[in-house]
Amino acid sequence: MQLLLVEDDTLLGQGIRNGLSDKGYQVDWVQDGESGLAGIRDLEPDLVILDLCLPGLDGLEVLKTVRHQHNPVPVLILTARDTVEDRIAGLDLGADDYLLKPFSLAELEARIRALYRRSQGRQDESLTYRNLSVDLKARSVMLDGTPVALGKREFELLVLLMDRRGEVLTRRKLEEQIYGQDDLESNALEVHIHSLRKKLGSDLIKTIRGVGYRMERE
Amino acid sequence: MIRSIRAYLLLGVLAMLGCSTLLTLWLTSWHSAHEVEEVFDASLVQSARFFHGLVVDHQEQNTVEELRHSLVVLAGQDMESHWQYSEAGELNPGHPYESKIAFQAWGSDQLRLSSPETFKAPQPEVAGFASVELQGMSWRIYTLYDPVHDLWIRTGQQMAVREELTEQITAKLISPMLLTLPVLLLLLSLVIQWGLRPLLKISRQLDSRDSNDLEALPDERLPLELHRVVGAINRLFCRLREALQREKRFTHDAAHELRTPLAALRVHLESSGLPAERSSFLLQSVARMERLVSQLLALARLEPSRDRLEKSATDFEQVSSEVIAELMPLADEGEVSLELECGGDVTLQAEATLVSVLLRNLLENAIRYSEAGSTVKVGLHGQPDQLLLQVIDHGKGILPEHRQAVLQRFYRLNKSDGPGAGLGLSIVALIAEIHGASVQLCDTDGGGLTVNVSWPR
Repeated sequence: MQLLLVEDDTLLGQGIRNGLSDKGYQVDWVQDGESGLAGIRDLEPDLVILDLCLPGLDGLEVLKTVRHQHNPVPVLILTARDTVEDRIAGLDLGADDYLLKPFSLAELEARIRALYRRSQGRQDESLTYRNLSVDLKARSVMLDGTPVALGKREFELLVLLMDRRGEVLTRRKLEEQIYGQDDLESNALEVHIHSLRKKLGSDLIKTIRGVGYRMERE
Repeated sequence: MIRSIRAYLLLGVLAMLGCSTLLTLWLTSWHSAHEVEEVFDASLVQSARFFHGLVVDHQEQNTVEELRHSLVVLAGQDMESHWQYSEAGELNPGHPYESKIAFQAWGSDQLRLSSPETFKAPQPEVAGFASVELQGMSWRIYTLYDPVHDLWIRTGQQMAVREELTEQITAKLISPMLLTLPVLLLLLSLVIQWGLRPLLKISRQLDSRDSNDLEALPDERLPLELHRVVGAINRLFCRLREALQREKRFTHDAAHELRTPLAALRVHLESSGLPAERSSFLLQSVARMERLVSQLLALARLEPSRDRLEKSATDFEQVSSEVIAELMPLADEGEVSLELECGGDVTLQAEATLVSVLLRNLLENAIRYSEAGSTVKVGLHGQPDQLLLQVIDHGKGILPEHRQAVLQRFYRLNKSDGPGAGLGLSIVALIAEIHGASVQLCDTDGGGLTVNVSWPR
């Protein structure tokens, strides 16, 4: 996988490049916004890791320009600012995910993989998780090679959880994503989760009681 | 001390007006009393001369008895019935005030004539004016001596007549003043109110402001006196604005300056290839630094929001869910389960960001001090008068004697007790304080710490 790292801090940039190279990623590293923009255009990376605090062209400006050019490259923001406004600003401008400094390499790598998978998934239109594979185009699910019939909502729920494996998705977030503005019975989500577990295995989806659900990282 | 400019002006003007009115009245009555005195004294002298002429004339013609008759008998009749001027043709019109004016004629040490007869002044000895007391009345008396006929002529007038006139004049002056006073007062009050309008306008402008609005007040078309006040307020606003911006910039810069090298340290450490038993202490130190930095930044950000809390209806269930979801990796690391239990109405006016910072700190502590395999539970209990937020762990707990101290900054029970700088609970205490909420530390049934935060509605 080819990554473009835009980070002005020499120590941190070097550390990230070394750490990710060790894991087999091909990392190009630039240290300011203009070079970042040029790199995104010329190198066509699979994913961009973008620091927000850059000399010259600010990280948010870079992001704005990239999205303005209708470039869908996945962007992971690195930020030292943890206020809600700062996070929202980044996501509003089209970042796919953000990571607050400091972070562990493992976390960074997990986010990169998840982002990449999602962007690839959209292209390949298929997702796999353990013994489960999902064809997004045909909307079919195979468990150990055997097709399993899922309802529309069950399918959407499964894809959402698979897409964000490792993350806890709160009930509210799931309900917003799956049911939108529809009127729903208060236990509709529980019913669908229950049914998914029955069809795909009871340990597939974990409950965080009172909070939500998640699928663990592989 | 009068606390209102309007009342101060009103009372001040009123006092001055009262004083000047009283002074005018006193001067007027004094002057008129003096003038009245002179006129009446002159008329006393004139009457005395006239009466003297009459008495001499009648003495020479031996008709004093006739004079006495017309002066004393007719006038001495029942005067009350004649007090009004009679219709035409009546012979002897009288006036009640006649008794207040008196004549006397003394000749050869004998009282020759006295009108009215009740007038009992003693035999005169000196000529000229005198003021005397007669039968409880004050009289003004003029005595004239005629040495040719050895005749003493005396005219008298009750002082009451003069005083009455002076009083009448003064009273006539007072009534218009008393009548105009309320009108004047009303007009004055309106004028003052009108004059103070710009002040009221400024206070309304300040009142209707958002607590974050530090823009300058408009200072065009302001009265001269307010120009300086508004100028001073605006300069203060400007300084405040700058200070707040500096503070914000500082926390931003500090966040960046501290977190970036920490991130570099961690990333280098993780990719250093050191064996786990060597790197784990280093990683723990880094973790403690990271936490300290984020808590210090949280505290730095909290201080200015003490007075400028931006409250909105906050769904505590949503905030708690998000915080728990965020802290799941930390819980996984310690093999601790997290749970949320929710009951009643859990929406409250609060600043959502701060509520999440509070809960994050409580949960981080609870997770860190929990045994592997145990559960940390967040409870939200909506009650009519308050919302109770509970974080219940089954760790070692805190002894009652230490509970007050752990809410203060940089207090740690046991330095070897995992990462942390002892700031977490003081952040919790500060956030609770600025929301008017109270924090209580208690024991969990079966061991462990329960933190109760009560948010008043």
